[in-house]
Amino acid sequence: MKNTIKIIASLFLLFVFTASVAKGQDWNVPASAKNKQNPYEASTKNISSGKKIYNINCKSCHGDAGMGNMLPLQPVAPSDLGSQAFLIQGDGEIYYKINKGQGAMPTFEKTLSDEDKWMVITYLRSFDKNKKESKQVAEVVNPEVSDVNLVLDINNEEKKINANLSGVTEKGDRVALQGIELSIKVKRSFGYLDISGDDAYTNEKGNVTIQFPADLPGDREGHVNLLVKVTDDAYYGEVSVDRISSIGLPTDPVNPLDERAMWGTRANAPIWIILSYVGGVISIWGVIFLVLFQLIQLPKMAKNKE
Amino acid sequence: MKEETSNNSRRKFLKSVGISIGAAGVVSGFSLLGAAKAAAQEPRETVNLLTQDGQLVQVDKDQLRPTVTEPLTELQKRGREGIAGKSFVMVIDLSKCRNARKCMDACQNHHQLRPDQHHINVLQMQDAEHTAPYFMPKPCQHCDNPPCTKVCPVDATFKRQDGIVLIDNERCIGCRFCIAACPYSARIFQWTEPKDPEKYKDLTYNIEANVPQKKGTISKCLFSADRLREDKLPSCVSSCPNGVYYFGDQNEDAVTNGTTHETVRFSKLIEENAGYTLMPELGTKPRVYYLPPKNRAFEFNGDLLNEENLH
Amino acid sequence: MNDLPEQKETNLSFEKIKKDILRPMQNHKGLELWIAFLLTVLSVCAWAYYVQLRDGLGVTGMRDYVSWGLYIANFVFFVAVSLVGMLISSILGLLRIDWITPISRIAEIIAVAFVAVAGLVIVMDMGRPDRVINVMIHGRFQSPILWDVTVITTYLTISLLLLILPMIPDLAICKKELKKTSPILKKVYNILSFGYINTPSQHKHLHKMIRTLMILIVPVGLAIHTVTSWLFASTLRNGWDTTILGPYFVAGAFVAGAAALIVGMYFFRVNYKLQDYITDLHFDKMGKLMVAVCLVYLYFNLNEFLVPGYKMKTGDDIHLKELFTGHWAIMFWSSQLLGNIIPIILLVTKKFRKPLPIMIISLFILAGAWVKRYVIVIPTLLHPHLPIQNVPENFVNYSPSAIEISVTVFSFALALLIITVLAKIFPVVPICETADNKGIKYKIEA
Repeated sequence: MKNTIKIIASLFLLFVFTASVAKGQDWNVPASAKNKQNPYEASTKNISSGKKIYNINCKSCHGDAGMGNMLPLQPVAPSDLGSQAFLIQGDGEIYYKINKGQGAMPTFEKTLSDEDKWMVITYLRSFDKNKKESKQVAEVVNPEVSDVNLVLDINNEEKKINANLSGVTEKGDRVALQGIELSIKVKRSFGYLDISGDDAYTNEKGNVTIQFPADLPGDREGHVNLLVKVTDDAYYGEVSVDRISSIGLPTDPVNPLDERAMWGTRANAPIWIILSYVGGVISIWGVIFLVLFQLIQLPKMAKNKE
Repeated sequence: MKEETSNNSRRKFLKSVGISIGAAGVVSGFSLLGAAKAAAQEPRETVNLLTQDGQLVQVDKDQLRPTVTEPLTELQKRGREGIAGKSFVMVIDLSKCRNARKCMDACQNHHQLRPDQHHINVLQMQDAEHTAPYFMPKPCQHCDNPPCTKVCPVDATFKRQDGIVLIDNERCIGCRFCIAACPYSARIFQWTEPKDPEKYKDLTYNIEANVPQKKGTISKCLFSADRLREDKLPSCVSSCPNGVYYFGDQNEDAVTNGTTHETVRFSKLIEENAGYTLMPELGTKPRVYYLPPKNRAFEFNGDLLNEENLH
Repeated sequence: MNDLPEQKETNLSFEKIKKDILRPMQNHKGLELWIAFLLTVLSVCAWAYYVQLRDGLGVTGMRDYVSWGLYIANFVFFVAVSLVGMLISSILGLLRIDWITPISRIAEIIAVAFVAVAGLVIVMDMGRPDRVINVMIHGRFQSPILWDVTVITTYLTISLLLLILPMIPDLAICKKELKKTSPILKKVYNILSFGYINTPSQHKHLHKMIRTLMILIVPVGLAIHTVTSWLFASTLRNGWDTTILGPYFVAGAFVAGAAALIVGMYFFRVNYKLQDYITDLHFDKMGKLMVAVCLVYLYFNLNEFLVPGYKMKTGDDIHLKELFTGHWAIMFWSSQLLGNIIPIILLVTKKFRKPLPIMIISLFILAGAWVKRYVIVIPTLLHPHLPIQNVPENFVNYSPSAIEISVTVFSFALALLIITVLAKIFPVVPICETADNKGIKYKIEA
């Protein structure tokens, strides 16, 4: 399996290489840039935030790191950034490429902060099989648990959401799980709005408490659909809770069709314009019909000549 | 104890929902690859179909299952009413656009348009002589004070409760007054027989996609209203490779990026990035917002720099 | 205008008037040839319209940016010319200016023909003429088109009535005199003369009706031009987005209408040998009237172009530059100079108000009026607010196609045919009113 990936990856690299040579647009990474080192450590937090940034900014073309599901773009297809063939480069080289971009690859020099870029590199390094420091450094070691349970406690008045993560140890005790990142999201029409903030890691009691944005609209009664989940499925599989809660700002949807308007349909026409039209037509045509009526009288008048 | 079990089953239920959603994602992912593969294979007996998300696809005949389609009256009724409680907005981040034109292709595919017919058009803009040129995708602005629906003599074009301006080509008389009225040149006319009339001729008219198109009537951007009904982003939004488009519901104050699928606060997005609307002085109140082309992801490579391309 | 010179033709008798005016209706070889020619032109050009119906409006030069072209320019022109009915028979009639009597019927005939064709031109411009009934079923009160359709129908109705009602006494004469005419026409004369035998009560009654209609047509005539101008003024486009467009169109329509009437007068005078009725005096008066309406129009033109030209606002600037010195300069300046300024200068002199010179000048004014409509409609559409890009070359320019020109010829030929037919079956100069004016007594027998 590993081998096939490697083969595919190297084939890809070969393809990218030939294509770029053919087009004469090789990455000319200056030596000074290559020497740059990642100043951030490969902590769980950094890897996790790197993954988030990756998913937003890189995934749409490069696919999931290590999965080889990139977009088949022409003439130069994007590489799998989690492949060994890619990670053979130094941090500085990757950093340079993120900054500059080339062809269809955008420049992230100004759109991502330096920290964000290094976080992405930290995340990508976590796929590197040759680097020792890529081993994930877990800050806290939780015991082996089963039946992981995520419990939500929502305070509607203060608009606070508290999530508690716990699991049952082999001995049968339910213990808090510490240092696990949770994602707290609000369902919107086309996706989930993440309101977890920067530091949604469970504390020693297994709790994460976040403030729900006071101005975030809910429906007429303030209902919102909340989804809380353990960010990384790798720990305990998919652990999530969803809940409808009236924590949002009650919002009456405005119906633009409620008011009569010039741009509205005929049924919504302003009263004055209906009256002007109908009034105008009735009065003008009234006179016309009056004249026509008089016209019909004309022959009769010939008879009473005297 | 009883509560516990019900809780459990609820979790299981959720879990299964989660899985099925995940699976759907995989399937759509594979179907793309599958389509690419199928294209490379020998052609078998196929038929042309319009998928639910508005793409015209070729399908093996033996894969067909009979489905129930809505009758015209139902499609017209719900199309004219719109989706209650929604107020759709689009945000276009000009700093991300590199004129890839995937939006235009997807749109033309969805709405039975020729390559020179644009519901959405990526323009090369330069605001003043010495300002930097940039690419500007221009869909219909779905104005809240729409000049086009004002002038329509027959209610063929109209605004629905969710803010979308639609066109009913079952009613349009082809006077083209709306084209004259639109300051954004967002409307087109079917001057001749539309593209591929044979392929589309048996389809029931769907006002929310304006397909099949008809000769002698108007067509325009509809925010892919048929896709919105299924909670899918408009064709242009989801086809952009560069994260240019955000689309969402203003009532929820959230817009979702079609490329990254990141959902952000609409108000924050336009506040932090100095969002603006096109030609606000005309008082049309567009529902499409633009983020200025600052800190660009790509260098401008249009021919505006060399040519007298502005008319 | 009341300084009527002494009448030279006092020796006219009612019998002579009758004979002179009815003669061309009975026997006129040229007229029949002319009708045959028009019918040929119409049938050839009808084929062009059939092609347009079959293949769609793509056979025209119009595309997504210039989506209104020649047809709409023609429409505005037809509407403008039709205002002559209101100008002559109504405004001047109400002011009791009596020199208009012999030419008022020609004015009404022109008005009826042009407004009827204007309505037809709009239908011919539609992408789906089969759905024209939708305007009745689903008509929106907010759309200028509903108002336009309403006003055009109303104006056509009133103009027809204003053509027929003053003609009732003449038709009663026709019924009596034209013995050799076809049975259908006899029937028409019979019905349309409404048993009129000129009793005092009938006379009074008839004139009351005519007077009512004369008053009624004033607001409708103003409305037809104002609403037509709103088709443009209600948009947000440079060159159209102006508040004076309504009165500007009315002023322009007076000019075009008066010119059309002068041309019509000349042709009927020569072809129908009506020199005794449509006299040099009428051309002189019409020349003076022309100077007056041209001056008003010139004043509106000054406002329409000088004010935005002074400011050169974004959008207006390209539009005006293209008109003044760019692509449209020749058309624009020829319409202004040949169609307005030079005629004013010439017509101030008495010798240019003689029939032939003023007819030629009027032809120029008419052509200028048409060109003016063309440069009102098309250049604006070529300069939208946003650049025209990613479209084929023929979207960026506009030139009418052969089909479009043929359909245009069709509409003009149809207007001429209507005028010709009306002038063939109805007396073009009022018989009884002319006699009334000259104080000649007459009797209409039952």
